[in-house]
Amino acid sequence: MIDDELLTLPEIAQTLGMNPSTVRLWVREGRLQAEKMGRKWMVRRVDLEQMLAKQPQVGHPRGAASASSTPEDWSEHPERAMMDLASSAQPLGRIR
Amino acid sequence: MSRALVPSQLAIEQMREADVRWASALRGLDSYPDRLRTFADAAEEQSRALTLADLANVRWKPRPGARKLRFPFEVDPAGERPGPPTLWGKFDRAVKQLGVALEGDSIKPIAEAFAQLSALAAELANSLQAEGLPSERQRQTA
Repeated sequence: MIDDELLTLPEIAQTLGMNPSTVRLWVREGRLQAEKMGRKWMVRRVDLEQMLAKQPQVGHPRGAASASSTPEDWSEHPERAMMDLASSAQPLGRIR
Repeated sequence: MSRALVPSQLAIEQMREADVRWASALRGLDSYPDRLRTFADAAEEQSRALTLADLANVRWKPRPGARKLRFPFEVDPAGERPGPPTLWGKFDRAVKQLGVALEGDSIKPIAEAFAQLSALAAELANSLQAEGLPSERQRQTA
């Protein structure tokens, strides 16, 4: 992967499977560094990866908010057992 | 250990997006067959996101007791579900399979269970429409 690779906002949205407006919001809020080139905002891939690494809860606010609690026994929460799957996913080496 | 093909944070990000769509699909399960299609699409997205997570070497923290999971009553065996009972039987078995997969420590079986659920929900929607249950668009133009 080339660190200097430049990505457009729609490309980032497509890669992450997100709405392009969410990515534009990240740029507007300064969470994601971007540079305007002509009429397009461009993001260095390394900046995108840094942002995602620093803010593991980044993403859709509803998704992040709902990942706040993880029951020990899911049989007591049968209606939630197949929800918020991302809250049970962890990058390799972080599981405890 | 093999190097991940996909950055894990990107994969988890995609899982969060799939979770949002999935939650929305479950909330809206009030009419057939359109909602079953929405459900099928959301389950397919979960399957794709989980497959990506598997490629990213993301680890799954098991959910003990998840085999008791309950879906909204519109697709629950206790509810009155229109359509072929045999297909619903397969659907119920796929739900159980998802619950068992969620209790395990591997992402791949979860992805496979969602893919199965997606296929069955789409098949149920097709079947209901073939039986003459109109889609929302058909109801509006009637």
